[in-house]
Amino acid sequence: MYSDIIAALPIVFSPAMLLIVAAGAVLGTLLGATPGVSATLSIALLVPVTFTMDPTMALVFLGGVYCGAIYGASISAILINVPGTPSAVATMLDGYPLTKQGKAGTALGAAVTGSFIGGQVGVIVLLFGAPLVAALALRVGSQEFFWIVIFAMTSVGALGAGSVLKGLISAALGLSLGVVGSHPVTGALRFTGGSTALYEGIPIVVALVGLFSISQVLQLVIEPRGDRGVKITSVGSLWPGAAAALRYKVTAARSAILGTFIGTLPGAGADIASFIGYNEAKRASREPQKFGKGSVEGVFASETANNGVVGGSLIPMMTLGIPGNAVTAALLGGLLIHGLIPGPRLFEASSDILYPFILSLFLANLAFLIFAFTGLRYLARVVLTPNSILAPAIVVLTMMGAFTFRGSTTDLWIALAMGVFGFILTLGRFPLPPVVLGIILGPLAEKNIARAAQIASARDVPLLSYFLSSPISVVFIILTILSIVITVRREIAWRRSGTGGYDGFDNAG
Amino acid sequence: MTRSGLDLAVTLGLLVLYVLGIIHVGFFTASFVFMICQMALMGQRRPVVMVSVSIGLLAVLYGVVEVFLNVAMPSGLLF
Repeated sequence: MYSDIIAALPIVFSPAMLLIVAAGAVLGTLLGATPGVSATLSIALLVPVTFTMDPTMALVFLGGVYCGAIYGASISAILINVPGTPSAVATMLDGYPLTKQGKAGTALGAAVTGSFIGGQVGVIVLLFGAPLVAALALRVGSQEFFWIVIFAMTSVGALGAGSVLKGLISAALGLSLGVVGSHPVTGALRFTGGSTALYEGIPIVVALVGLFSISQVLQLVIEPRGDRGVKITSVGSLWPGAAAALRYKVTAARSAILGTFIGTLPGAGADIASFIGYNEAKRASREPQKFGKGSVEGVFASETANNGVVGGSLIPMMTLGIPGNAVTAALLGGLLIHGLIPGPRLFEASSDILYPFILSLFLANLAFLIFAFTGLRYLARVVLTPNSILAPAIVVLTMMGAFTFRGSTTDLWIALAMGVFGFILTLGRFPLPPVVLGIILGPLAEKNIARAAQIASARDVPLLSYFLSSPISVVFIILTILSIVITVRREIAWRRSGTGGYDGFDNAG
Repeated sequence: MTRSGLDLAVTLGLLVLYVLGIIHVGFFTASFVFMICQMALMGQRRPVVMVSVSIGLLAVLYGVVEVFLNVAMPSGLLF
């Protein structure tokens, strides 16, 4: 592993790669800061730009966008009380009050310092944790893998925000869409309607851009119109915020570790991490009464936690091919285009791509830190982009992405249909990330259970007893049952109280 | 029908026409027309903003497609 890291250093520090990292991080920050463009959407819209890059460069670029977008969301949360990405909802609670007190710079400084620290901790865990998980995952066979995927699917419902029942229904809809195309083992065609464009299933990138961007555009269309009524005056210096944030060393460590850990869980994203980081900081704080009224510590806790998620969430995505949230699902789409199939073998086969990628994430975090302290004050107005300009621009970028994926005009219709479908789901308050996970994980589960069934029949044992013969499968069967029980209990509690403890429903991913 | 309902219906219609336009007229022409219509629908009233934003974005995309991607976008009568 250390030799891999040393071999990766010259690649990462080449001028072209440094430029790509900086471009990705800055672009991600600006897109993430734009209300209406989430981290998922930023990646989905930029994946097409990487089509002709070499795989290392493409991954490094998209990784930079991921880091930048999660940080960037805090900018609009602080300046105009609108989260650029759902991950920044907890940041608003104290960030906007600080702005109203004329301390926008302090809040921005605390946010970027926290994002940087959380991001770096997450990447350190990724760097040392991912190879270990990959080594373990190599011993996993088809039947075990099937149960890991099923566990991931059920926990999407258990860990998501809002109604768990609706989360599971979304996941089931995604699984149904994942069935379209040829059977992974027999090759039988299903639900293709005679269209050759659907033989390989619904293309993930096209489904993703359609689902997230077109539905978001339709959402923007029905939003109340007009000026948000806010003006950005002078932002002021970020240094006092950074200096104040550095006093909260315990908060930094707690939020960063919580964020990274939450990132590794399937179904839990940066939005949940920021809330948990915020709440835990409030509980342990010496001045909890200041939270919600403009506490620098609150902004710092939330932002440290959500950027910790970046590194953590990449572990299951890269080592198992199981994305835990919508952003990593979008990133997975980007990997697949370059012929990189995430899974335990990726670490052996493509360590020359993965290590430069992981190391570049350290630089991406550094890039948005430098950008925040230098260029941000000139570009902070991006948060005021009106919907009337944003919506048409998103549509055009979506259609370009959908078409360039494989030059098929059928994909334009698929993107549009997925968008309308996503919009209808959003109206009914059904979450979208589980749909994407269903589309991606469905075929994975199907392929592995088909193989397991072949092995079982070759050994002449019933499939069920073949499952029970593997301890790993048994563990994941138990975890699946547990996660369903938790889901049902939470749903009952949710129904009784009317709302969940955290009603952070937002479909922007 | 409420105003937002009407806006939604018109947007859906525009989206279908836009996709047909990309296929039959060409990506850049159709995108330009679509952007102007959608901006006007969503309350953008300054023609200078509408035209400059559309042309600016499409020029960047043209550069990206030609230089980076080497993909032939559907083209028709004009572009």
